[in-house]
Amino acid sequence: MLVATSAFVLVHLAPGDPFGASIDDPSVTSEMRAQQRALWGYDRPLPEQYVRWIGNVARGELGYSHSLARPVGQVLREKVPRTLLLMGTALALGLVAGAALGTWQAARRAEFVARASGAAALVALSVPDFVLALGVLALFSVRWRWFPVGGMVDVAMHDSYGAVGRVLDVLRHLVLPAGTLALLTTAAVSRYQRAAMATVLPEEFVRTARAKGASERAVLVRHAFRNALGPLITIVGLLIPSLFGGAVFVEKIFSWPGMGLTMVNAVGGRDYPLVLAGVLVSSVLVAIGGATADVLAALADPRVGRQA
Amino acid sequence: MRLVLVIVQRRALVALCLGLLAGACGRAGGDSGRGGTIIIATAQDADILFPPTTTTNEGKAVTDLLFDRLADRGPSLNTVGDSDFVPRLAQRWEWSRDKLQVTFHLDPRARWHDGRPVRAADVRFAFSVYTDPMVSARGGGDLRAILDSISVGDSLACIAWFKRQTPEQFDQLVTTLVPLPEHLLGGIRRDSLATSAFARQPIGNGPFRFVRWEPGLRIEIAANADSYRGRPKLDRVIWTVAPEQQTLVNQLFAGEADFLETLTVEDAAAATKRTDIRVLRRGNYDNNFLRFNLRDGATDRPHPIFGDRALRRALTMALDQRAMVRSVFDTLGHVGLGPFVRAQWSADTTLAEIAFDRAAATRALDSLGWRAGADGVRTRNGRPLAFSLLVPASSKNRNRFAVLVQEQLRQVGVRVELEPLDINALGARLIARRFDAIMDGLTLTPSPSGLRQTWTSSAVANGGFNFGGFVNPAFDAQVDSAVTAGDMSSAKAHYRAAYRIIIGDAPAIWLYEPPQASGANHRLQVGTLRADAWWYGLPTWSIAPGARLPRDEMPAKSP
Repeated sequence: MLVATSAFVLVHLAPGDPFGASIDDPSVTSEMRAQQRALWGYDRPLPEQYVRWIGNVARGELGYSHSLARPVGQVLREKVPRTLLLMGTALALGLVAGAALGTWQAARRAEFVARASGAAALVALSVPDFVLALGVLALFSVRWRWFPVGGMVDVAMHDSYGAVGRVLDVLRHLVLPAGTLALLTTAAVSRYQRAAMATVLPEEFVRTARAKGASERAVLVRHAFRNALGPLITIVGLLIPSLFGGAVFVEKIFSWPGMGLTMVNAVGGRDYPLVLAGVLVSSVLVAIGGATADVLAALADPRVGRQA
Repeated sequence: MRLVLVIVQRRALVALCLGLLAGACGRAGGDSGRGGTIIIATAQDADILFPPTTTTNEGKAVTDLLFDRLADRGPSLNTVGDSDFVPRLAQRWEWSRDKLQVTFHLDPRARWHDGRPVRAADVRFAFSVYTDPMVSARGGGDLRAILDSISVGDSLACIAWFKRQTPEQFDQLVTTLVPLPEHLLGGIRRDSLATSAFARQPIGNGPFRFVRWEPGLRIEIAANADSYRGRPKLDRVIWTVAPEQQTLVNQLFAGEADFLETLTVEDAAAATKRTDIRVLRRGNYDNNFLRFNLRDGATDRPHPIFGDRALRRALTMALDQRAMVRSVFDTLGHVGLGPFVRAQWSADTTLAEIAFDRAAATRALDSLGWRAGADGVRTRNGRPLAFSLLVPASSKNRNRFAVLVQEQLRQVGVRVELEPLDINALGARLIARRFDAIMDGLTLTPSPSGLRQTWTSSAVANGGFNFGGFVNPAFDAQVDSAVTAGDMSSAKAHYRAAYRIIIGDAPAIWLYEPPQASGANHRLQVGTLRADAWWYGLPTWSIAPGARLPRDEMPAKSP
């Protein structure tokens, strides 16, 4: 309720309204804009608009998106899964690769290759996201033409494919945007994981495992890795909310028609109902992310649950 | 990944073979230049596909191809009388002696895409929709102003009854009013039309029919084989949406898109170096200028700086507009001439302008009492010659010009503070008249009569676009005479007089007309691009027979 109210107030504090953007087009008269405002109730006092909106939300009605000319619920049903596909893929790949890389770097921390890969991860993290995305696009799409420049499907051919072909078509379009995000996630996760493993590896229980004759792989995976999971789980909790809006830059550069891009456009266009619905969904995801991280942390380390 | 590509390619090959087979069967003995799919890359999705209320370029393009009008402007884009207008749904039309009635005779072959014939009642119904305030139709107010009613003579004849005779009455009627299917929309509440299913899946009567619209992804239309105007050459036209200009250009260069509406100067330069892309130049109606607020905020008092005509003229004189245009657009842009663009028939390139002369500008400022201070900024009675210049943050061109204006005015002792704002915030400031000056722009039309809504005193209030509060009765009189003149030469003379007055008064500095260039893949055979709507020629576009791609053989789906 607090989030909803704050979002409502903030979005209405910004100058303009959903019908104020076409100021350089004389054929869109102020009379037309006034009629639209009256039709949708934006000429009513703000408290009245708030009561009406909060009442509608309580009934599950999120309103009508003026910029997309559709009910907000319909927009969310369409866009959220696309963003979840993109970010879910990137997160899964990034977590697995980052955890593996961080573990390997910690185990081989004395070797040059491990140190070099750590430096490479640092460089990847330092490069601005959009620069990395544009570089990937320039190389893999424009120069070598291995993957499509953008979009989610081949707009001309997609329907001619069978079910498997359509899935593969989406995957082909997913490679670059998800790969870019996965690369960034990998770099971030690997550094946390390496640090966590570096803390755990000198512990006595690891020495004991080695002394009992466990193989190095078993020592790393079964004993050290599980005890180094805490920071990784915290990162998962932090990353889940970004599933919703954190991929704005990648959605824009790769024309991935997801929620992040939609939200940016909605804010620019003062599409109040869509912005507010997006904030609500985002808040729910933050809560889910936090709760998931707590549960996972308790599962990975029973001491966390007991302390709580 | 190699496996994925192989499987996709194999599927595509199978589909291609099927498509080729279907295409061969469907076109046995047909026109070899016919068929194919073109992909148009665009930065913006359509807002809605309902002709009365669509406002985006994409919405207009798609609906213009789905819905025919009664008649259309011809190649000259004349807007006076009905000369050079070409028949569309109306095969012919005839005027009453007093020019207050025009009877349109509809083409009996015209059909809605659901198979029902287009009838005169559809035209009458459309008029009632456009003029209903509940609909907020684009141009609805103009139609209400010029037309009393539209009546039905017989099923194929409708009569438009004008309130009074004006030179552009025919243009206003046929370019605004798009006939709508009464049998599909008659039962829908007027305030729900724009949110109805029809507005997302329209059924038109034009050369193309609607196939699908996946917002943010694609809009697809297909050739209407039964069109009374003849079948378009292309099978399918697909718009694909990418919000980033660089992505759009990459799509064009990678062959994923066939046509890109707007190339920046840099993109056009890159495209000309390629053998697979053709750069198509076209006229345009963008008029960009620095607008002064002549009033002190929203009050009726004169602005402490810009209320002075001589000062406005001095500032205009201080700007080397040619150098600025060359700096931003190289040789491709044009210096602004006045509140009109070169593509309008009323344009006059011989009008005297306030020429760049920095020394004269300096002398003029001195003589007005603005003396340079220690910091180089002029002052008068303790007030510095400084002002804030609003700039839409999203417009790269206007930002570039704003910086150049700032620098050139600095050289004559004027301090300009740039204030970039997002378009909504800027619009709010403009409407509330809370600004000193703004990098403004208007999208004009072939008709110059819009001058009345943008610069006359009647447009200061009443929701007009004269945000700077410019008032000159002599100018108003000339504009009124031009808009109501009986013939084009008389109208032109009055427009010329009006332009001369407003240029002399300098309520704005008309800076530039930006170049308009589109990019097309060489496989596309494109005719002339109309300046006001490049898409009008799409039914005649085709794909070179030797340049077919797999996507050209894919048949269109049913909606």
